[in-house]
Amino acid sequence: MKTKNNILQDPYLYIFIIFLVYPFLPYIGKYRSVGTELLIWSIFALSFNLVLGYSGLPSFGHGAFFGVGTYAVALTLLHLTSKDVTISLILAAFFGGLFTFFYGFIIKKKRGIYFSLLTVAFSQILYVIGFRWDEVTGGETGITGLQRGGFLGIQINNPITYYYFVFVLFVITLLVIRKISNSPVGKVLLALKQDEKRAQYLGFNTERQVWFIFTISGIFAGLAGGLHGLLHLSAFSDTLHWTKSGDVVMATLLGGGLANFYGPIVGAIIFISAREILSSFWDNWLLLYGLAFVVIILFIPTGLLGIVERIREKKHFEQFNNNRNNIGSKNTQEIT
Amino acid sequence: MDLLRTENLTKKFGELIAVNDVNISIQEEGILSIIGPNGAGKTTFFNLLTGYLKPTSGKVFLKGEDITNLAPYDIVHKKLSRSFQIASYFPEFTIFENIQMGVFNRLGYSYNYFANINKLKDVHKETEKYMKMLDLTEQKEMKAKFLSHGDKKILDIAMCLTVEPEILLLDEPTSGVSGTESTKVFNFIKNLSKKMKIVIVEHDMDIVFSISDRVVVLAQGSILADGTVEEVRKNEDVQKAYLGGFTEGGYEDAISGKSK
Repeated sequence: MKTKNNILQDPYLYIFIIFLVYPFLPYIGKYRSVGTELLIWSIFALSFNLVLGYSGLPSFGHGAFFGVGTYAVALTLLHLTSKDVTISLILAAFFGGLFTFFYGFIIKKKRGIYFSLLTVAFSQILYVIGFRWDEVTGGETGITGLQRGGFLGIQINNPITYYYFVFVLFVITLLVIRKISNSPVGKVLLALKQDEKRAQYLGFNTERQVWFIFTISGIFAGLAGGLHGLLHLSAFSDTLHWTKSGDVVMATLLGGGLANFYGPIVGAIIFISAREILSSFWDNWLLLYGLAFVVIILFIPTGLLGIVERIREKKHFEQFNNNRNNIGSKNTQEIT
Repeated sequence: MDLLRTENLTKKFGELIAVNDVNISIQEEGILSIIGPNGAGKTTFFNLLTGYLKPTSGKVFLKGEDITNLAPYDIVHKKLSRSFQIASYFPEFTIFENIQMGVFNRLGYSYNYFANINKLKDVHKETEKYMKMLDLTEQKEMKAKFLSHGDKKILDIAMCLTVEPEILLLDEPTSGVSGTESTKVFNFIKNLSKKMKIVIVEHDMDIVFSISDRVVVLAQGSILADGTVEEVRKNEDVQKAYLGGFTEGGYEDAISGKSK
């Protein structure tokens, strides 16, 4: 049972409250699409972190699955139904999952640099298709002029209702991914990140675990992409470009996804704020952002929330350092 | 029936023949040690038995079933487990969590995405059982990376036990472990041998000759000798291979100290 104190210490509570009241905050609240973008990027980064932070697999082409979701929404709104986005969003998640399911099967045995390069290659293949296949994707000009309509009859056309619509999906995503990370599978992923051979010799089919989590990650990435398409009411091939994947990698690392569950959200907040605030002052804002990234990663390799983990670790070590020499001193005699 | 059997097992790395046409039958009781000079193919042989490497030719049978081309995780499910030369465990996990991993798998939670791990009573109970066996209950919340080297080795072996093996393969369980600690590891293994078949690859001759029921000597990938401790000790080929190293004090002491 959770005590009252535990609930108050749960970061989830504060994230929930901040995003719930965001549209009514002074100064920043009126930039609703920025808030929506923040939520969408949080969904994307959280899903991505299942692969990077939990399983330790450096997927550098995750933007592809985000882009697949965007195009799924754009194409269904264009050709199937323009009144309601329900089917579009389901298809966005479905195709995100379908692509990762097939591609995950191909690359599930690859690790390290090979895994990275294969994911980048895949995103570039999709990018070229998106960029060149004029008849379907609109090529360079993309697909524009979409209508949001409603979701199951609820109008989500104006910015504030859309914000809360995305907020609900964000909360669901957060809860589902948190559930997974606290499940036996979450532990298996962390284990295979540390020592895959060991995990295999405990009987875990780590390749299949990688394949499945890659697929789950793709489902949420596709959903995020679909929501992004609905926010801007358009789809462009640059969402498939590998630099888009780079954005989510940087955000997740910067926030501390390697060390903390909430790291990706912190990273998404930093990335979107930097983009919105810095870019209004200077066109070359990426230079500053890049510099900040280098400095932070140099000093805290596990990202901003890595500090929290570092403090925890220090306490942990102090707690056990005193008696570590006594450990297991009698442990061999009593086994029989 | 033989517990584990190899049939013309051969592994080539390019021109080098690491394991050459090895036929061996492992019966169900006691401790079997595999020894041999450096580069004799001991670890390669182990890796072939456990599916970590695929043989160039030949077959491996576990309880009569061909396991040659099975993946490690499938072989583990057939009740074969192994430890590693360099202690292998999850450094960022607590000792409890390390042990818990094997229990998860055995109790069928490998693909459970929604259960809260802290509320799985059967896993908890089972893990506690192993913690008690290891006498590590007080330190169960400690991260495994803070353990001493010898305890890491024991943790590695304990993790193997969580899959409830019938045959346990230990790759140099005392390598890099100091004298007193190595006795500890060694007693631990000896106790285990009452419950399951144990196969050891080991450098330390004192240990090998004092605990083994059967010794297999590998040299250049082939079996040089196979028999009881006495037989192997008297074997001239073995003595040549070790250049008389056996006649030094430690070994003789080990033999004379052995009571059966």
